[in-house]
Amino acid sequence: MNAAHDQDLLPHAHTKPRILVVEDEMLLVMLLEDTLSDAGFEMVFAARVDLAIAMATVEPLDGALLDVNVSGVPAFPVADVLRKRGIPFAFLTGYGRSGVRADLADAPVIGKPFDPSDIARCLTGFGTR
Amino acid sequence: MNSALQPVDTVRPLLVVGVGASAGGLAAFKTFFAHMAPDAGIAFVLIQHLDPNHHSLLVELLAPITTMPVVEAKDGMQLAANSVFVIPPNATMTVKDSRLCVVLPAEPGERRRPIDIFFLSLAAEVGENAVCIVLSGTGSDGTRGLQAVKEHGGLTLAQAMFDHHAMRGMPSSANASGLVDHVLPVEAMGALLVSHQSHLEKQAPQLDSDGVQRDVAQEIATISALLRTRLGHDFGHYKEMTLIRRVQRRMHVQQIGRVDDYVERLRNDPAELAVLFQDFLISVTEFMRDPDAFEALRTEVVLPLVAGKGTDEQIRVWVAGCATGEEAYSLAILFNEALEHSAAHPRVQIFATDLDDRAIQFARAGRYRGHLTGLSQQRVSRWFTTDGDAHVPIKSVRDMCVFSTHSVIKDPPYSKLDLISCRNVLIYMDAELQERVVRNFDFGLRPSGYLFLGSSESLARPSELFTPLDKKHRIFRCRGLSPAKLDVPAISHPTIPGMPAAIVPSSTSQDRIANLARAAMERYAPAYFVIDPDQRILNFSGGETGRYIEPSAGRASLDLFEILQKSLRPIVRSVLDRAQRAGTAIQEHIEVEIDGHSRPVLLIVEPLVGLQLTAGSCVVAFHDQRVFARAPPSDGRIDVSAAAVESLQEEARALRTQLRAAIHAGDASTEELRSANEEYQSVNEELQSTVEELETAKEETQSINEELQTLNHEMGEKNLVLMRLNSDLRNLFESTQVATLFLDGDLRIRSFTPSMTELFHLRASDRDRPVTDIVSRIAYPDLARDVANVLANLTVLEREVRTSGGEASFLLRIRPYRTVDNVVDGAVLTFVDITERRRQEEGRARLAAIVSSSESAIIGFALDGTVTSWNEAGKAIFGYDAAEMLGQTIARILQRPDDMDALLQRLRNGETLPYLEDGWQRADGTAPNVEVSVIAVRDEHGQVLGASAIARDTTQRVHAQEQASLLLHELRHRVKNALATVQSIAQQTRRASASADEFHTAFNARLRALAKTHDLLMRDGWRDVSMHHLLEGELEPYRAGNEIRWSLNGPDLALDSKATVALGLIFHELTTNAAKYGALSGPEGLLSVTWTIARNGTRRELSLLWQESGGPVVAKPARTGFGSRLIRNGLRIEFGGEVTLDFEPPGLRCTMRLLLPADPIPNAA
Repeated sequence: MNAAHDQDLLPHAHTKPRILVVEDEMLLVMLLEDTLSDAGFEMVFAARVDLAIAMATVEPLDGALLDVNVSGVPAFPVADVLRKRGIPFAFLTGYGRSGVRADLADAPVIGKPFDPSDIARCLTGFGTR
Repeated sequence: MNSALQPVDTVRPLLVVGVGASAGGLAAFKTFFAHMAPDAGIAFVLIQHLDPNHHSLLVELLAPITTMPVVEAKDGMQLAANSVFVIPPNATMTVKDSRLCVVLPAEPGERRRPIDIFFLSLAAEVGENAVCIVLSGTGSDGTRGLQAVKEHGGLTLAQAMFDHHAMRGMPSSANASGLVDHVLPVEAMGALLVSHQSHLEKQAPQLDSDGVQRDVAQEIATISALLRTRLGHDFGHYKEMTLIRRVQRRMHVQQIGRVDDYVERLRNDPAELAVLFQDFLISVTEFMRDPDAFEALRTEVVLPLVAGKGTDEQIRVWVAGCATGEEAYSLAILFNEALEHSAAHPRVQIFATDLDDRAIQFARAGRYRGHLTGLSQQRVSRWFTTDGDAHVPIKSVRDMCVFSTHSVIKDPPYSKLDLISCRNVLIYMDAELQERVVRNFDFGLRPSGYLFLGSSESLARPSELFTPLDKKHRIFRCRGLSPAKLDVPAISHPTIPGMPAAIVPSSTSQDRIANLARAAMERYAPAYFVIDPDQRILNFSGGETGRYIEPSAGRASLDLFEILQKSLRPIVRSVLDRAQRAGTAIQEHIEVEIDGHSRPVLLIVEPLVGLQLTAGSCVVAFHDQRVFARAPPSDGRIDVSAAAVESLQEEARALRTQLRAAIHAGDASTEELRSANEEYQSVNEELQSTVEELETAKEETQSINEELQTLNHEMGEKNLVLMRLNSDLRNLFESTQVATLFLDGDLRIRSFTPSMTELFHLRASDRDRPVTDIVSRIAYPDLARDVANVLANLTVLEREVRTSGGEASFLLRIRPYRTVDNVVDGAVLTFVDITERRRQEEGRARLAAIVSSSESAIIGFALDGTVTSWNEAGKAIFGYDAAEMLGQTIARILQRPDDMDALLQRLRNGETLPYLEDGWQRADGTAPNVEVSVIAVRDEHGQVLGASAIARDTTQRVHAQEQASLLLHELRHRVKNALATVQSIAQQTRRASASADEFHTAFNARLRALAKTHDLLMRDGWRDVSMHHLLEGELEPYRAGNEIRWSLNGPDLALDSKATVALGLIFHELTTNAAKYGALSGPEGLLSVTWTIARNGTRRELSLLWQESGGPVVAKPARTGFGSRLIRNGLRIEFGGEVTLDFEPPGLRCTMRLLLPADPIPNAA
């Protein structure tokens, strides 16, 4: 909770679409922050699954990018919450589609390392829905 | 029913058929009636020889077979045609006056002969209308009765087997008697009976009141002639009626109606002639026939004879007409019995003769089947032995008797006999033949010898030769009067000078004196004849009688009036009459024509008185009167002188005397010749007896020869068998691989097999040498001692021996040598080569060691699933040890025991089942980590014998595989993450770079730092990295010589990979900044890094201070670079930590506080 967001890193107004990033790699989070910011999204993030579930439950969100394995814990429960709330999400994983739980395999999967334009396109796709 | 039993036709002669069989004869009875016409007009009486307790169902069983009424016979039942009468069980049945007599119960046991009894009565009752049939059955019942039926003219049949031989048992016993007319199958009997019946019917009108066919009587002479010329036996004097009946019977048997046809048959068929001859000789005899007579014979003849003889004397007996020998053996038994109680043992010789050589052969064989009628059980067991079903006289009885064919009529009699037994022979002869035979007997007997005749026989005319001793039992004694006896005195009793007269029987000596005197006086005495009251001449005086004799032509006769000169017959008859009437002598001068001259003769007839002869015997004498009553010449004319007459008369007298002397001499020599002839005859008889004996001896020799030949043949057979055995043995010796040595008790070599030569250097010539002398390849010094032990203890000894070089092993077995009679005679040594076996055993032991030490479970099991082997690893893998599994099935280690059958079936089909991992079960019910290969075990022909399962423990491998796949998974994740990190670094570095060169330099440096931390991680196996190492690795490039311008203080801390990467990058940015702008950029600057660890719940809290000093004055940078961003945000994001970065002028100061996972801290200070 105390890591909900950072004014220094996320200085944008709330009018931008809010995207939840669940990822434990520091550098990746920094890269995604740049990528999302460049694409006109506001990013909130969680490096632990329990935090991510809490945020997915209560935060106003427009989409989510989920690493499959977050410090050794699968992130699928987060996806379950999001799906319940009808918030679109995509998996960001080095494991490929085979690493995704079968009932969630219809969600978009973006491999690591990723092309920033893929991220943008995917998130834009969320907004148009 | 009753009406059916009444005779249908009283005119027709009723043929009565007696059928005998024993209990097993039912089938025969059935067949008989199935083939018997029911309306033949014949009465049937069935006699079953049954166990008295046997309930017979014969009546019920036969009723459906025939339409004739079948009834059980009851006493008094009338015989009737077309009816069947069955004997009741346990009864004796006879027939009398056409009615059946049934007596209950029958005689018990062996004496029960119901068939014989019925046949006997049937024969007596209906004679030639009787038919007897002997069907199948055991024993000899029926045989005796069948003889009687035949004797009385009936027809006799016996059952044949399929091959026309009489069936065993009763039929064959009957047939052996030679009295069965037809041996034929039961099926054929019906037809024969019908035709026999109709034949008898046809013949009936031709019979006269005696039941004799008239034309047969006319042809008897012809038939007798045929028998005489063809077979040499003269029946001319046999009783005609007997012969007629026998011929008639044969004609019935052959169903020939006209006697002419039968005579024709006899001419053309020698077999029929022989059968008729046999029939003429029918002689029914039995042991001790007429027991009373035999008892009389025993007391009056046998006992005195035995008592009157010394041990070296002989009793000679002649049984004339002995038939099948029963009479001879009966006599032999009597004599044997008498001898048993006698002090002296004279030799008894019984000559037994008969015309019938078949009967003689039977008698010689002396095998009497069945019950011996007439003998007590005691006598049978005393004088007979049993051979099969026959009784055979014992040796002492048999040896007394000599059998031979002999005709009492044709052949000369035996001589010097003490007893002649001739029973039921004379009855067949006419009076004349009887007389001749009796004279022969008289000749053969010693003086006072005995004659024993049959009960219905008597002595007719020659009775003067014998006196009755026992009239009732027909025992006679010889008077010793016959002339033949007078002529052989010298042979019987030579006169020895000085012998006391007392020992010479007086009557005989007086006879001799009288005889001699009479011979002397004969010359002077009148010629005379002694006649009996019937004028039969009993005695002639001698030579002179010839003048008065002129026998009539025709049959020779002793009648005086057929012998006398015809001219004398009237005068002699009248004088004889007068003399007999007067009872005194009468003399009469008569003229007799002698030599053509009439001569005066004084005729004297004087009745003989005082003799024991029949009264009325006379002497008729003719006394030549020429000496006394010379008739004067009738004409009175005398032509010659008296002197001349005198001299002529003298001369004539002299001549006459001379002539008389010559005649006497001739008479004497004739007498001598006659007596010589008699002697020769006797000797001849003796010789004949000897020949008989020799013949018997020859028979015995032949039978011994036969026996020897049989023995020889047997020996030959045995020899063959032995030869075959021998050759088998030799082949066995040569083919066997087992070296065998046979030693005798002294250890000498008896024999050996060829393979033995390889072990001991044996040669054939070594036989009989002690085995200890032979050089052997075997190192076995104890041989002699071991063999001695075996022989002493009679045990088997086994020992393993090796060749001296040790290259081959043998199993030696020493066992006692036992002969066929189980006598120990040496020892047998066998050497079995076990070299190969040893080698195999070693190989097997090695394999067993491998199996047992294997870490895989190696399990052997049979095709029914039974476990046969189980090694130690089996316990580790499946939890069962060998003791628990051997004998159980492999179902026990299957999760589903029912799968076993399918598994076994696949093995039987020859499948190999590799790598079966699932379906196995441990003793505790869990599934083991195994990989099991099951393979079929085959023999050399590929036949599946069983199976072997090898189970490998795969626990470690599975573990390793899990590890590897986990690692791979992790690696992929990390690589992708690393790449994403690089991507991120590149992106951030690009944003902070003013130029491509700047980007290049910074990016390369950061990439190297990343690589360095990765190196550290890799070095420790991607495990924890020490804080010291991480910092030193980063600072190391800025070391100038030995001078260290930094100090690192803190507990040794192990960092996980994530912390390592994050801190590695942060330390890189701080170090780069220090080298570029801070403490490490100048020569005076110092860097101090200090850290502490504190517990915060389950996690560790790291506090670190990076303090630079002595470097150029620090100024806050104009913009936030990648380094600052990373330092500030990196830890926060990943570790929730706090980082402060103070750009103070004396030097940069950075503090970090972050939470690390609660890993144990190695070397925590």
